[in-house]
Amino acid sequence: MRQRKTGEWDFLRLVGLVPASVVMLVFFVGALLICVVQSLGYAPQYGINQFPTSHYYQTFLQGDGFWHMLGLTFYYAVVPTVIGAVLSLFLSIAFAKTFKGRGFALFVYKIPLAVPYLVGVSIVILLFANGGLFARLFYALGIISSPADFPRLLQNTEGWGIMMVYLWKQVPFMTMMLYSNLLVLGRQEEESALLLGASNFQIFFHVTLPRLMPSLVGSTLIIFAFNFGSFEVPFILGAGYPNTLTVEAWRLFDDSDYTRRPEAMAIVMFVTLISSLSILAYLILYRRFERKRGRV
Amino acid sequence: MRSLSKLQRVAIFFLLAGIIGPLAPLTVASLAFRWGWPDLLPSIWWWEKREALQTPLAWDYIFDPVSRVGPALQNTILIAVSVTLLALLISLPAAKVLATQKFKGKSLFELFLAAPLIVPEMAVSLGMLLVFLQFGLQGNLGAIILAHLVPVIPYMVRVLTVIYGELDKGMLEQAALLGASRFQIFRHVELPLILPGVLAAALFSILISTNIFLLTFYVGQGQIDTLATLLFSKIRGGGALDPVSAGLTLVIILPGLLFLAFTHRTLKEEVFSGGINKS
Repeated sequence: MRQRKTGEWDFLRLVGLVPASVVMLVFFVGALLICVVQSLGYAPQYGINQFPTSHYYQTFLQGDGFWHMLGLTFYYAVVPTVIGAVLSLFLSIAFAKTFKGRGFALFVYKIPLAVPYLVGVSIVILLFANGGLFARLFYALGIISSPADFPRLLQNTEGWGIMMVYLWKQVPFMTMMLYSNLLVLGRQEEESALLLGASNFQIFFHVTLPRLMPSLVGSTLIIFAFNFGSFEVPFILGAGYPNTLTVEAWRLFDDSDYTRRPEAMAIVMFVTLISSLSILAYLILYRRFERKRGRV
Repeated sequence: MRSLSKLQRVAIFFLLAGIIGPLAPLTVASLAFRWGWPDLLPSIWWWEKREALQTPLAWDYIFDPVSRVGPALQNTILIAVSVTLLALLISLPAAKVLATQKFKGKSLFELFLAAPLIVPEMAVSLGMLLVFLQFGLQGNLGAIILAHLVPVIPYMVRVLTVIYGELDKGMLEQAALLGASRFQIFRHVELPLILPGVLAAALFSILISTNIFLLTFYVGQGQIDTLATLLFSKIRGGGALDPVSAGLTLVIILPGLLFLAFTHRTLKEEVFSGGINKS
């Protein structure tokens, strides 16, 4: 009797979670479930009813461009994350110091955080296209004589344009995560190290970096996950084909032949899976590293 | 020791220049009529051709009904405000529970709420389109509002949980002891205490919603324009940036700038960094 009463009470005190749970279950979990079911061959609206079949996964896993596209997806996700992390570490430590114009700097560096990725795309097109401003500047300086002489930075597989947009948006983000963490941590340990005669180099690698590690891992993780599944930036600034897996999913879903849509679903589920597994692997590696250092 | 090294100075300079610098050529591009290779400045400006041609150019075009920028702006604001109000109604009770109650599976629930951060937007967007297709709601403003709840709620719950965690419960108990009703307590004690946090969360939610592209694009099925989907359709070809696209880019920067101007002094860096990652 008493047991049941606490049970009821338990539910009542958690009732506030219900609206949020319902919304997330219907529109987030529900959406993902539909993707899974369609990718496994249940899409009666397109006249497909082969549930369960791995046909659509196999089709794209064995397709021509698969490995190339998977490689590109990883490449566009990992390279800017690593470069961005290094730059952001450096900048966040600089921001924690006092300097003239600091208030201004702390305002301006947040601008990219508050605008859509598409703004970055516009800017990169304006500046770095073959007929763009930098090409014109080089022409005016007599370095190149036609737009074709300017190195091709956009709409190619190397993805310079893609990575520039990512860095433009994400260096400020990671800098902010690290900088706010530095503010919370304070400077006592660094100062003790300094008093004990450590060099700047030693302080960074033995005191600051280890203390920033959790937020560095956290922010790179978010950035990686975002880049891995990102669409509009590689769609506009990447090569037509092959491009990232997400862009391929777009292409298949957009196809006039609706029976290709389950394959698009298979691709997005695959991207979700690989992204989650990468994050899991990253976290496990990080825990190992911390355990080795005797922190956890 | 606490002053900047030369290298740090250079790095900060490049960061800031890389952020503000492009605004100048964007403005110039939005005012150009002809800006051919290899001119560093437009050879013909917008205002020189403004009277001569019948069709609206550059900024005239942006403000002209033909460009659909007006309705897109309206939709963007309407969606953002509705999403924010709905999300507040849904997130406040959840945050209160998470901040004050201990229960089995709490960390699992929090993980569940963080999942939209990791799942690619494309997966959620395609799935959501199919959910709404089932109900025949695709291309509907209400459907877009519901769709935007998914990226907004997880963030809002996180921010509001922090706010509720810092709330002094003694104050609420005192009010109860003095005989205030539950509504009175909420209205006169709890609400004023959490209001600054609620405002911050609301501003973030507006920002997140205005910056969403893919979800709006799929669920809206081309029938509902927002600023983000308009800009996408202008620049999706990746060719040279025409004056209208440049102008539209500037228009789309405005809400973000306003947001920063409002929150710069009041919002702690920590709150900010928690919320911005998805936009």
